[in-house]
Amino acid sequence: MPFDVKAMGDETAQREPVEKVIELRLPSRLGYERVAMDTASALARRMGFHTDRVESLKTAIGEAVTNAIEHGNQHDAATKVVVMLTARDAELIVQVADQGRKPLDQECTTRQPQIAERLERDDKGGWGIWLIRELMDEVEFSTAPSGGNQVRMVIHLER
Amino acid sequence: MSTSASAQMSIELSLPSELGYEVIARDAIAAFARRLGLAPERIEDLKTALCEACINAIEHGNLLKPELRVQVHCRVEAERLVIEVLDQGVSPFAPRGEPLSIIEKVSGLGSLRGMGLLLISQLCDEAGFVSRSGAGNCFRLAFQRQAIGGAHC
Repeated sequence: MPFDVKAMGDETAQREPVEKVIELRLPSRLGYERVAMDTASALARRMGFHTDRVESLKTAIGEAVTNAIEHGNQHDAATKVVVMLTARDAELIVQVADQGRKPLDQECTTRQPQIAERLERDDKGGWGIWLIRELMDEVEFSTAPSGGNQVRMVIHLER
Repeated sequence: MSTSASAQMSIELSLPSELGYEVIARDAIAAFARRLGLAPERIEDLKTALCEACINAIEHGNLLKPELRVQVHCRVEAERLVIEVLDQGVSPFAPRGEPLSIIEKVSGLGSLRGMGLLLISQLCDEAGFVSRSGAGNCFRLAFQRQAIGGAHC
């Protein structure tokens, strides 16, 4: 889908890949991750992703936005979560950024969760980052230009 | 709901000005409306109206220039869900007198195209262009919230 023909009427006309960017700004309130999930799902379907990959994407983006609301923005309703979806010819890039009320512990981004340890937690949580890494093809945690936490996830389009 | 609380519970979406992307706006804002508890049949009205408004922005406001953007702003007020579709105003909206009704159009009195605004006005509680400082058209759609049950924004 995201292709543009730059040089028409020329024997050497080439199809150059172009990016199509969608930006979504959400309140830091639990439940709004559903808006990001449905937005990403609509784009991924339009790009031709298979249903199971769309479901993986929805789960991963839901976890990333939930993390941004709960941890990065500390449920502060005055802050926003910014989701950037970039559609390329063969991949969809998802960037989720918060406003960094609490910086992400880098150790959390690489640690393998232990089932026994997690089950001892009241909320049985702590699986989000692991899940994101399992479901997406590329995952990178960094600091957003705004200074908040940012996760960049890539899912490849297999035709 | 106070103004600041309303501002906090707003979402903003920015899309490429290209036909087909109205579907992304439709699904995003429908998810927002579901979360607010809007009745399913009203969400269907919203989806159709929003798609028409986005197509107008892409086709008419931005004259199908793919490098331009369409913005969709959505906010919750005490009694209304308000959605604004903003284009970059390559072609400012200019009203052309009283439009033909849908019945007149299907009776053959005019082109079957150009029914988007009529359709939108039938589906929303409020709809119309609003003045905007700066360049671009702003089309506002609003849905009353009294039909919203168990709203939890």
